[in-house]
Order: sequence, then structure tokens, then C-alpha cells
Amino acid sequence: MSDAFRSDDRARILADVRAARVPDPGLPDLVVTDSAGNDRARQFAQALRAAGGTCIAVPDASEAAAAIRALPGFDTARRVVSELSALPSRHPGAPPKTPQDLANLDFALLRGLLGVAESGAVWLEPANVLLRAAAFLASEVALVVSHSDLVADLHEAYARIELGAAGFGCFVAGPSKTADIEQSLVIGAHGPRTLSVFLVEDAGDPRS
Amino acid sequence: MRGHAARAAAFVADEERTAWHDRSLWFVRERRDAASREVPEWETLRNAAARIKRHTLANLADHLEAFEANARALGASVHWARNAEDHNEIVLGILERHGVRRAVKSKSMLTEECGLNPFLEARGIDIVDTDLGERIVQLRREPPSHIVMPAIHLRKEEVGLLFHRELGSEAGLSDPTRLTGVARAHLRKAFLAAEAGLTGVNFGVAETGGLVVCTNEGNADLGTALPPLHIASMGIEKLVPRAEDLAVMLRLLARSATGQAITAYTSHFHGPRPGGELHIVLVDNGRSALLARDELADALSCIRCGACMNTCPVFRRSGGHSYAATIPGPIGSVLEPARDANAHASLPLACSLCGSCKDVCPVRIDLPEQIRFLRADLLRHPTAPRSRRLGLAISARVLERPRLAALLGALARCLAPLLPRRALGAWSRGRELPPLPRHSFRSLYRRGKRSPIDEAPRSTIR
Repeated sequence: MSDAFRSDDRARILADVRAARVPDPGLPDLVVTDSAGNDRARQFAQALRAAGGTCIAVPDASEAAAAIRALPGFDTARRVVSELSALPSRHPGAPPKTPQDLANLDFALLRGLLGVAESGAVWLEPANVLLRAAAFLASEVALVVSHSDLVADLHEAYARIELGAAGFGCFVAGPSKTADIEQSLVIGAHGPRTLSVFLVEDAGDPRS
Repeated sequence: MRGHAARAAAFVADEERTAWHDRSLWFVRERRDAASREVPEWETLRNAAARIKRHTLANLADHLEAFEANARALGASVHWARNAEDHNEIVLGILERHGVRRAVKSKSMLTEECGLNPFLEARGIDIVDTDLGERIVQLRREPPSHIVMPAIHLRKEEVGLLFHRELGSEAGLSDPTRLTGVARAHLRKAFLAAEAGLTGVNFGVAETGGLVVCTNEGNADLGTALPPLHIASMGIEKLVPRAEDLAVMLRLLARSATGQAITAYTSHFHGPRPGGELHIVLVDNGRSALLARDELADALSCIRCGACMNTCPVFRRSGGHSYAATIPGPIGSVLEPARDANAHASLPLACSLCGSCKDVCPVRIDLPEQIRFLRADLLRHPTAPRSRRLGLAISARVLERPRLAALLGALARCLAPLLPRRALGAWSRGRELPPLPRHSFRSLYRRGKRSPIDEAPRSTIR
């Protein structure tokens, strides 16, 4: 079909939509939640547990790295994708070039930019396609989030995120799961079977 | 033409399954209640969401233009489809230009509405639904029975049998964890082999030109992280104006749908990934016509959480397939007859007008009022059952004439107990006729009696 035909369709749809007269109630005011007294770290850990994940508080980045090294199976894992400088990526043979090369990824270690206390969600903006794929392909995912990057709720989160600056961003709350067979919750549907979030009290150098 | 009641009869014939289906959905409704109570500002959020969606609908053309311009600026291609056929042709055209033979698709009720799967399959494209529930019903060659839980009508033993037959898993498997493991291995191969990832859209953001897709399984994310080509099908009503509006919508969506605070994955796509392509297909397919109907336009605010289905006493006991529609349940009983009154004439009648759907709707759609409106509309339609039209016509004539009504009332009080139960039709199935009072309300009132209720025992419902 020609593009001219298609542009007719666009014009027609817009004209049909414009012809409908729907009363406009105006946009609502911003929803502000009173969260001043909340213990965000405790709330975050609770919400993440409810979503099937684990929250581990650590004093600093080097303790976070030590705690990740102590995760079950990490020692012997053959394939690791990491954006944490203290923990290098591992891959047998040639380094992965495409997301498909990460098919049997054991661990993904990524930085979380924000943690949302009310839901246990962590905001990720993977810097390239491999890191992005790793977040969903790995059997185990570990995220490192600074305590000072905890926000109360999604209203605060979106106020801090510059949406659209990154091509891809994702709130991750717990491992992959499904309840599609008789409402039975099963962890590890297609993607990660575990999600551990390391909450760092003193983040120090954000790149470590 | 078979209506909802006839189709529901087949479902309720299995009493044990009906009771189980009812309990399963009520369990989700209770989870929704618990989750909503954890948010003190829940009603404020519902009000805000209702206003955001209605504001969007009131200015939809402007928001669509802004969305398109911003999406294009990010490098996405934006296509416009007036109907299902155009949508399918556009998607096929993109796939053919890239030589795609194998594609994966995450949950999208819009592509169900358009019949995309059979269209692509007939043209030699292998399309795999990757949401577990959707894959199950795709393998069974049947439509989803629920928009959030597509296989909610099936028992685990039936899934075990299906996977044994279609995927070669061991016979007799019925443990959900092991069955999910079978599906995981099967779908992992499909993800790795896919040359394109198709998704639906939960929200489009006009001011950024971005898309938001929510899943628990991570299937939309795998489907778009592996192949470089992403095609997103989106109804024109899916927009919100601003990024901050997402906070309101997302705080309501998963809590209303399953009782979760948020889905496991809430992905935001802004433009194609480096070296890839992102195509957004904006679909009208009857939406602009619905927008022009004053009494019903609000239904376009729906964010497809499914809460109205989980709470609906009719849906819970009759199953999603009894609606014979892409969107079943209370919201489907508005959207589907509004789209095609002939095909879905019985749906507004599959409702007791109890109002529970309105109470749980996160965007406050007045579903009972819309269903009542459609019911009045449909009964005037030539395809309405004659018995109902006749009954209503007679009632109207009688109730206009107080003396005639009184006379017929007195007659009915004498004769009704003598009637064979069959004469009362479907109503008498599972119900006893209540003992009728000896005197009419009017005669009691005239005699100054204050509590006629004492004389008229309440009916007993089995």
C-alpha cells in the first residue's frame, strides 16, 4: 500500500477523533503522599520480599562486592555479565557480541539508579544491548542500589527520572514469575529465577 | 443466534469446575482489596486516574500528534491503522521487509482483537505467544478467557495433557512449577530464534513519545532485548499526557489486576535500540466511533486490569469464553456491543447490575450505567430476543394503567402458585417461587398497615 494512502488514514483517524466532543475535566493536581515518617529501607526490603526478591543491606561498595561473591553458585559460575568494576564479567571463549550469545548466562550484576520503597522496584537503565539482555536472560540477577537513591513511591521516582534520556529503562521488582497455571505462583517463568538487591549505605564512588 | 446464556450453560454444567473458577477469581479480587487498603490515598489515585484518562480522551487528537512527533524524533516509525485489516497488513509488511519468518509476541489484547496470529500464520510466519497463559491457549487453538489470566479456565491436569501432546513433556505432569519449567525451556528456544519481537502497549506517553509495557514473566523484555526489530501495537486510547501520569496509573494497575504493588517488569521504550528498529502501529478499529458516543466514551479510559472480571458474579460463574468476545466481562459487555451490536447483543444482558465492577474500577468507569444504557438500546434493536421485547412492551402497557395493573396483580397472586414451574422459564431453574402475599401492597397501604414485609416472606435462593 502506498504511503499516500497511509497518510490519508492518519488524517481520517485524527479527524474522526477530533469530531468527537468529550468534556475535559482538566488534569488533576500532582498526587503527594505523606511519607516523611517512613523507614524507606525497611519498607523497600519488605516490598521486595513480597515480590519474591531479597534485599541485603551492606555498609559500602566493597562489602557489596564481597556479598555478591558469597552468593550461592557465584564462585563456580561460568558466565557473568557485570557493570560493577570490582567484579569482572566472565565468558568462556570469545566475548559475547550479540544478546543471543548470552543465552546461558548465570549471573547479571547491574547498578540500580533508584529504589522505590512502596513496591520494592529498582530502576535500571542498561547502557547497552548486552547489559539490557543480561537483566532478563540471566538465571540470577544482583542489583546494587545506593541507600540515598531510595524514593518513597513512583511519584517521587518519576520526578527524578529523566524519562526518554535513555532508550530503555525498566522498573524491576523481583524475579520473573507467573501464576498462569491455576493461580499457583511460580518463580522463574522465562527470566531470572532470583533477584538480590544490595542496598549500599555509603555508595562512595558510584562507578565501583 | 446463541447468546451468552446458552454458552454459559455449557460451562456451568460442570458444577465443580464452576465453583472452582468462581473461587479462583474471588481470590484475586481479595488480593486486590488487600493491596488497595495498603495505599491510604487509594481513592485519590482513582480520582486522579479517571481525570487523566478523560482529559486525554478530550484532547486525544492533540496528544496523538504530540506522541507521534516525539516518537519519530526518537527514531521510531509510527503507522496508523483505521481497522484490524490495515493493522495486520502493516505488521505483515514490516515483517516481510525484514524477511522475518519467526516472531515472538507478548500479551496484547489488541492483536487478539485484530486476529493477527491466524493472519500471520496463514502467510507462513511462525508467531509464538510468550506469555505462559497465552501460549497455553494458543497451543489449544482457543482465545484467552481472561485478559490478565488467559488460561484461568483450565486445570493444571489439562495443561499437563496439552504439554505432553504438543511439547513432548512426560505424561501425567500436573505440578505448576514443573509445567512452567517445560514452558520455559520451550519458549527460551523461541526467544533465541526470534527475528522480531511484537508487543502490546500498556501506556504511551505523549510528551516523551515513549511506550510502557508491564509483565510479570519478563517475556516482553526478552522478546525485545533479543531480536533487533520491535513492533508495538497500540490502541489510540492508550496515551497518558505526561511521564508523571505513569506514577498514578502504575500504582493502580497491578494492585487492581493481581494485588501486586507493581508487576515484576515495567519496561519503558523510547525509540529503537542501537542498530535496531521500533515500529509503533496506532490502531483505531472502532475507537473513534466509540469516542463519539457520549454515554459510552468513558469506556475508552479502561487500562485493562481485569478487576471488573474478577469481581463480576456472572463472569466468575460463567467463564470468559461464554462472552465469545476478545474482551469479556463487564468492560467487554460495553466495548464489544458498542463495536458490533449484532454479534454481541446478549452481553449487556449477562449482568445483574449489582455495581461491583464500578466499585473496583481503577479509572471509575460507570459500567453498570453503560450496560443499562446498552441494554435499553439493544432491546430496541431488531435482533433482540422477541420474548424480551414482548415482555417489556406488555409491562410498559400494564404499568401505565394502575387499575389494570392492580387487577392483573390480584390475578397473579391467585394463579401463580398453580402454574407449573416450567412456565416461569429459565428463572425457575435453581430457584423456588416465593410464597406470595395474600394482599397487595396497595391494599395493605390503604388499610394503614406499616410492615407489609411481615406478610411477604423473602424468597429463598438455593
